[in-house]
Amino acid sequence: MPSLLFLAAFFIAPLFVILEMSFQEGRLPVEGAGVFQNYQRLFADTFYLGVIAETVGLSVVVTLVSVLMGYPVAYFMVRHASGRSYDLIVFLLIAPLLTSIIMRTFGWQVLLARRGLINEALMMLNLIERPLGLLNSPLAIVVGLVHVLVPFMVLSIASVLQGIDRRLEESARILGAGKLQTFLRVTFPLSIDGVGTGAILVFMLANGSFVTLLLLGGGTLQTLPLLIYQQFNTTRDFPFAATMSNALLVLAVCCLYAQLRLIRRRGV
Amino acid sequence: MAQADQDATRGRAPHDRRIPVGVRLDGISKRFRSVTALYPTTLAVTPGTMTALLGPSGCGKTTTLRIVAGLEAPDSGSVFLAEREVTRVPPDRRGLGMVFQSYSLFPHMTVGENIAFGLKMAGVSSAETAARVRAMLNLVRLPDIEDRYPRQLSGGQQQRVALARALVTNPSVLLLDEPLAALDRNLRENMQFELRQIQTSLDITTIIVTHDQEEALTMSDEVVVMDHGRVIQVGTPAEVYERPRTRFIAEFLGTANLFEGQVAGDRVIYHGPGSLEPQTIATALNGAAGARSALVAVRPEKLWLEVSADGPADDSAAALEGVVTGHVFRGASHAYQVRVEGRDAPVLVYRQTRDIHGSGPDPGAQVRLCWRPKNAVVLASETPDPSHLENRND
Repeated sequence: MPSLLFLAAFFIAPLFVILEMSFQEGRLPVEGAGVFQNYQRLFADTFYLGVIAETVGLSVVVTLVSVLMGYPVAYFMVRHASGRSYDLIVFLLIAPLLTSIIMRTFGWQVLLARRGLINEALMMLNLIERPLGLLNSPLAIVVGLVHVLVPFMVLSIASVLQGIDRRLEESARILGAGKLQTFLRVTFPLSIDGVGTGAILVFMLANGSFVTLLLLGGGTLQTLPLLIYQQFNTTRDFPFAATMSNALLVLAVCCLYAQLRLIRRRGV
Repeated sequence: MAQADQDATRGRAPHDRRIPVGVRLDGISKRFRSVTALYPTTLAVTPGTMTALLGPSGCGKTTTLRIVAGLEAPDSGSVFLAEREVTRVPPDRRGLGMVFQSYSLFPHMTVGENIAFGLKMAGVSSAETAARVRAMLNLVRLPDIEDRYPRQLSGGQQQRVALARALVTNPSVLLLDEPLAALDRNLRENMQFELRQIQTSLDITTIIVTHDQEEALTMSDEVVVMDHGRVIQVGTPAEVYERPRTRFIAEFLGTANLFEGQVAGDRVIYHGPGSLEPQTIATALNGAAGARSALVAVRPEKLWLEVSADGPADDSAAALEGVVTGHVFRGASHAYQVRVEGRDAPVLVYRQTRDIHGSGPDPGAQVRLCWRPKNAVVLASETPDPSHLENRND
């Protein structure tokens, strides 16, 4: 019971506070627009729509890159790694999660900086003449986010791959399917739930990511979390910040719902 | 050449008469890390027959099957299909059909898609595929379930679909890995008949792996008994049952009453518990010639009981004195347990119901256990006999 009270006081109540706040008049009140004026502003203004699109777009890119990078790792882990190297890979995947996300992001700053490790190395090899602007770019953001999020993808794909009966693949081989056909027609379709679970997880986390964008993006991408931060700290337009928070929350809830559907389906 | 092979395994219509293909394994062996799953084994499967690889788990039978399928590469030796060496040919180019114990139907495909899979891989046209899928479903007596998913089927239905999927591509050899083990008893018996009937009607060379001796005996033309990675006996079901070579086979294939006797000339003489006089308990020495003592197995159905008061048994029969300690009525037969004074293991006797009066001797009755020495089998010692087995040790 105390835990329930705690939950109610610190998680559920704030939601209502934020919801209530989003219905108040913001810094730029529209005459006679009623309680939904902040939402009208968010969804009518092309700038904010652009921000939402950028948020979702970034998450989609990060998710796709994570799938492309994570699937081979998961496949290798489950199908080719021996017991000990399997454990090692899992450890390597989880180890970064033990470090603070800020530290990891700073690490990327060091690597990507104008006089950072990567630029210096490329210069030394005479591959480039002057440092590339790696930091403060969408690329840096994607790299940083993928690095943080790909373990989730790998682990969720690996857990599903592990559950696939090898005899299914062997049956396909005996029925005349080569290795690639077997993968495309049997292994991959059967692991799609793991890809889905991982994708939703990564998408959701990328949607809400903030530190990475702040430290690696340098303002090149405007996403909802960044804007919320701005509204709270710089513009101090609390009602509008609350509105954007709710928009982000709805996105997250949609993802959770999709995930739940996926899990249910697998349960059949 | 490769093209011709593919045509041979892929393009044919479902009811073409095929020329059955033989399978030959020449000295194949397999180790998994430190465990030897299969010692060098040589085996030939006659075209068009059903051969059972029989043995307890871990005897190497499944490894053997997987080597034939190409799912496992042997450490040594060669595999031949129709006298063509396929040792290094990947499984998708061997033109085989296989049914696993777990059926392994693709859960994300319908029954129709499952069966069509092999045809699709072979590039068969969709019209022909549809016709052949339907023909196969009729063959396994499951029409009208094409659009269902495997999880909507019962175990027996999944089994048939798996069989249809394996047969639709006209494989040269059908491999069955414990195909009936997951079915309940009644269904298993029906499927035994059905499988056998489909196999003979298609005239397809079939290798079935099983640990169920009854399945091996009822379904196959030839039984290969394996244990600890070696073949111990090859023969027709009747041969391996009636003339088991070793104690392991005698006991693995049904029940055997064992008696230890002395070798004298061409017969085995017994003088021990239950017998006052030395008597002949077995003729024909098989592999035991030259040994001093021999182990003799007598199947329970080869024994009969005589109530002692009925006078002497017929002279040629071996006879031991005993007391009935148990009796079970089994419908078509009766089983008796007879204790012989001084002997540890009770002797089991099976009699057909129609051969005895009433329920036969009651527990506690003094009886004489009788059998004809020619029906007893002299067992070889457990070490395999290389000449007989074509089975080399390394």
